[in-house]
Amino acid sequence: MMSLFLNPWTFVAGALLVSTPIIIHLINRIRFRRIRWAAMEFLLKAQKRMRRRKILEQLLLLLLRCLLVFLAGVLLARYIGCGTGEGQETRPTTHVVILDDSPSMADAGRREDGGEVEAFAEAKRLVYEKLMPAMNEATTPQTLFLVRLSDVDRPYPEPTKQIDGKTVPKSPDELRDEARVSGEHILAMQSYLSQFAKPADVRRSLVEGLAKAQKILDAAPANDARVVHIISDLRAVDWTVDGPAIQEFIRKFKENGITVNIVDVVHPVRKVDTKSPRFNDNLAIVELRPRNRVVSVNQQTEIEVRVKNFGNTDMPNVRIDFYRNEEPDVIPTIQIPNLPANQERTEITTATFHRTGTKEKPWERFNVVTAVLASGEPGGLKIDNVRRTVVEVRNTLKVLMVDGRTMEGGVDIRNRPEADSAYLRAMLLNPKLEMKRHIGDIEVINGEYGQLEKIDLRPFTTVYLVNVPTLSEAAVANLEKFIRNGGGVGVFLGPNVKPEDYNLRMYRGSAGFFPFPLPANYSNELTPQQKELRAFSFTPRLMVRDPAMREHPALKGVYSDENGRPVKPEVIERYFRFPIIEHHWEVSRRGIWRDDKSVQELYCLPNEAPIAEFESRVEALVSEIRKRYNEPKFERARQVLDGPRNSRRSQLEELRLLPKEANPLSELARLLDELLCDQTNTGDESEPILREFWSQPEMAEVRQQAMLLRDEAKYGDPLYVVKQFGRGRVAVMTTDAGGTYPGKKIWNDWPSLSGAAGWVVVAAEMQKYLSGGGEDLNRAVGHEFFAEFDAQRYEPKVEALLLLSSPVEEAGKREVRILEKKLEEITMDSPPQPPETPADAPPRPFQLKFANTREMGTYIFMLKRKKDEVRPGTPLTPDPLGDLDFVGVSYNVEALIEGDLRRESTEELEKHTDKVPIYNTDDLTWIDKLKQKPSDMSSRRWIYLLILLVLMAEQAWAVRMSYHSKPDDLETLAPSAAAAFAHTTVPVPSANGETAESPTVARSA
Amino acid sequence: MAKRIDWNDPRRFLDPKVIARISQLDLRARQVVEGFLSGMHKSPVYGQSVEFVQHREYMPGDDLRRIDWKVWQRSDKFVVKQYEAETNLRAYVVVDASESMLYGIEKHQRAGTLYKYDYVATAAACLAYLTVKQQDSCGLITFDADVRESIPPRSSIRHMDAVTKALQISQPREKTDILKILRQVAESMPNRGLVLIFSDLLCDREPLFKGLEMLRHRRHDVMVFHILDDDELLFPFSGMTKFEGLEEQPHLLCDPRSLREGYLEELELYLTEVRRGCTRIGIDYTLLRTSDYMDAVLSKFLYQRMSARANPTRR
Repeated sequence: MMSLFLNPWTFVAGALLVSTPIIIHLINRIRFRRIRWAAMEFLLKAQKRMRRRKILEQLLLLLLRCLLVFLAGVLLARYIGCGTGEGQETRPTTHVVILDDSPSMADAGRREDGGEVEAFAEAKRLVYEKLMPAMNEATTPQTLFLVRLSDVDRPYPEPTKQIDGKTVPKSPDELRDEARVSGEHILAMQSYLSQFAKPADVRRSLVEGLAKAQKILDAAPANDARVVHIISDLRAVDWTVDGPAIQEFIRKFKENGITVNIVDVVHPVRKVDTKSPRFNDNLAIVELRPRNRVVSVNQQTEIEVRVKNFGNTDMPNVRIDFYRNEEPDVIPTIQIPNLPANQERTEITTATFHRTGTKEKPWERFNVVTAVLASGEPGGLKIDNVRRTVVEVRNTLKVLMVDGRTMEGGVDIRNRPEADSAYLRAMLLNPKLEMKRHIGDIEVINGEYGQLEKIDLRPFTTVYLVNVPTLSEAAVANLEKFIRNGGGVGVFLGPNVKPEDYNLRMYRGSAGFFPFPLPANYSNELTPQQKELRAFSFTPRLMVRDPAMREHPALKGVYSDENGRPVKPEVIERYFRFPIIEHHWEVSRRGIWRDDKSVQELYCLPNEAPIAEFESRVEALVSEIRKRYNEPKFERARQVLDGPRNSRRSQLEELRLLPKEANPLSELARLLDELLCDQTNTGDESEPILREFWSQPEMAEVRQQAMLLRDEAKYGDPLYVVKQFGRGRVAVMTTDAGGTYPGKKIWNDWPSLSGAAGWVVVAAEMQKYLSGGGEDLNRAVGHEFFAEFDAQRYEPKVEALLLLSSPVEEAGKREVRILEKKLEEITMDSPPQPPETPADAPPRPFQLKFANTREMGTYIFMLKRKKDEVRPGTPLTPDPLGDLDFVGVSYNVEALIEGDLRRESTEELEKHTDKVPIYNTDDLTWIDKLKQKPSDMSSRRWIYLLILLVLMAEQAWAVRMSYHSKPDDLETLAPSAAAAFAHTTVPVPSANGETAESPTVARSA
Repeated sequence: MAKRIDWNDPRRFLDPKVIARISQLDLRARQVVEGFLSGMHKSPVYGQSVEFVQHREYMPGDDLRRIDWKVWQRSDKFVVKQYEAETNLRAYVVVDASESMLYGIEKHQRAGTLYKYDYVATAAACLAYLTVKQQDSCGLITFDADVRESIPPRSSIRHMDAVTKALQISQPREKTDILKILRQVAESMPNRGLVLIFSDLLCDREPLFKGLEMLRHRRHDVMVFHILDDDELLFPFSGMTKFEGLEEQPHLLCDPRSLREGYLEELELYLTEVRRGCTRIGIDYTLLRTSDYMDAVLSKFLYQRMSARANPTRR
């Protein structure tokens, strides 16, 4: 009982004082005066009449007075309260503050007084001005560790120390002593935090911070109370991504008795009743990447930039400037007239690079492209207005050409016209000028498919497998590693291909890089009639099954002119009417490979099955249409479908009879196209009528049937299929690249004869597409760079360089300056061989792990080749700039997440955090808990209010009980007596209660 | 702080505080009456001879001697002269000398003011003096449970000595029996007269009204001067107090402030009842308080007398 009060003896005194009003009452009853009274009659009557009421009134007054004294006693005794004492911590406490210093914390919000305050600055102040001083007041030892989210591995105080240049861990006691909250520690913390003038560039998940906090708290003494403070901006996107994981952590914390406090430091403050707090608009460059990560000198490449408006208002006139290294105005600016709210735009600009590095600075082959949001933005983050990427420029791009047939009759045929890759080689090595601008200078290096596993593929941008019969498992693994790291592989399937090997090693049930399984055999040879039919058919020999595929990166260039403007597909596809593809691998048109989202069919062949197979289905379709068009509303459509057509048969009749007259299947497809009017537009006046006819809901089913029939009749086996594999790309042609086989047999005349114009464009775009893989969409600062390198080829030591490119504004002019920062030498890891590895097995590759990517910029790793390194597949021309190989990667802020400044709704937060209280920076009363000083009622406003109310009630009641005589109460209560005093005569009430004038009126003179 | 005396104020002798300084009741009465009369601009007393009041048309049966022939001579109409009846007024002053009239005696004596009995004794003496001075006869009855003193009406000025002496020796005690007294008064007055009752009327109302009705029944003019102490009218007490009832009333220990409202309400009910009862019976009722100037009584009396003369039919 006494423990409920801070001043218990005051409470005892207060309890005694409560009886004061009663004692006063009793004393008054003992001490009285005597009056001999004549008019006892009235007094007795009054007493009798008012007795009960008076007693109740008096009791109430007494109660109020006792209550008043009681409350005063409670106030002075400093009552803690029954419930509040339970949550009061009396044990030593270990606190872990997780300070969110992600880039979004740089957002500045407006306080209620109009001042602007940055969330990060507010968070820092909260730590050393509020939290720590409160902890310092606690009576038990308080220990505080600070974990910055950007660098969770280095909490404050640091767990290690330097002794004689060596880093050694501190002992637990030493660490706890350093973390003990004291005045000195507060100053140290202030000094520590002041070195971080702005938030870090690195974004780390809160989950990592919570995991670290868990680790720190696990090391805390068992009898310590444990508290985790999360100081963050609580952006919605953070909780969308990591919400469940955070929830799990918080649940565990609760289970383990760890208290969690969450503080939202963003202004305007999140109040209890604020469901969706306001946030600033923000515009961010969320992605910047070149279409080709490696280009040759003067090769034009496209730079793709994605800008997103994260705000709720439209952004007009968004301008993005580009800088090539430090040069402005060499890459065309992008202007977006209007970027709607919550929308993003992807725009493309083109760039050409010349800098290939010098002997002194070979790394200068890496050209940094910096995109800057030049139009500015009202509010929002600045860090996401700049983004950089890197393009490696080489004198030539190295292409590894692996032919299936290398030697015939003891002669290397690879450089001869009949070679499997002859046309491909010719196209790559001697392109037309316009083409060269796109694909760059190519150096083709021959490779043997039997030795593919031994070739270091890193220097190559593309590997072509042309009519390669098979690959060993090691070769496939090597290739897959190459593709996963961003390489491109083009495959042309010729007669030498062994489908079972392809399926077993390269396809592997869609797990391999090869996109589809191959059938047991390729297509049969055409009969002379078929050849003749094909030669005179105007049906395109290559078709795009899905028109959207024309926008695919591998085809986009095909359907664009030299300035990148789109060209009508018909103009391009007229070149596809002439090639005759005699043989191809008849890949199943339907199959599970189509379910793989990374696989896309770009071109297919026409269906050349016998038309008779479709007869019954055509009949059924015509019959279905005829059943439905009799409705009056379809009258016009009926006339078009079944009406006379210039002495020809009606459209439906023609369709019905077509399969019976041995026409090519392409004719059926053409008729169905005409009927559906959804892909082919001839400009016929009946087309709108038919479109309306098919758009009716009752025709939906028949339309689906017609479309299916059309597609089956029109599209045949896949011809050109691409697959995204890892960071790289794979392109497969189901026919060969124009090789000539014994007996002068050819599989297709596409590269060689009349269709060559189209083939060159498609193949060039394939090369461009394959060399463009590898650039990460968002390589975000703080994430580890990992790559594997051949241990036999490179020394383990790697030099690293950071190219910092940040815009600097001086006198209204913006410049981008590139600063080179040499980083510490890295030693690559050499993982041990797994057990049971043969002794002669090659060593496992080195692993380059670089985690210190904390700054935004371009990181260049320089790998030194071993001097005696000569391996198959080594480029023919040695690198004139030395014996170094380079890897360059750009690291940017994680703008897609950090740029989204929307704040999580309070309701969602409650869900994610299992209703952990969310505090703001305006109301910091909760911090009093940290003082471990039980807060008593004297610190609460309501007790004073209650006392005031009771006091007012007592006074009002006392006044009402009329001990304070009023001048007119005699007039009211006893008018006759009052009249006697006034020397007047009160009117005499008549019998019926009305007043009547008294017969006598006495008034003194 | 002593009240300053306004020497130009004609009522300066009527202040109860001033009157209280005069110990001799007869002197006190003379002082009051003389002071009262000298303060009036015109004496309300018109003389003692037979006085003409008005003319009235002659009605058969009227006394022919009362026809005013001079009027007949001028107007040829018979009119009768009406005169104020010449009577010898017999006034009885009935003074309550019960124990309740003693309320506040110590307090008033300390303050040099009049307590209830003192006040009514003075008032009674004044009226007696005034009456005798008008050549009317005045008697006195003091009573408590029984008649204590009875002085038959006389018109001699020496008679005042007996009256004042009787008032002085009738110090209040015992309980009132008002019905019994009023019956005795009624029975003891053979002719019509004026009964002036001075009492605090702290008795049962039923016998009071019965007694008064009895007097009225015998065609007496009755005037009731109801005397109450200021304390009884205001009930100004505070602090724990034990009220010890006079006239065999029970005692009560209470906080008087808490009962004041109820007391005043009951008092009002009582006063209303008394006033209404007197009005119903046709009795002049005047509520007096002990701090009232004495002219309140005299004015009331003279006013009543004038009304009686002006409107004889009212009787």
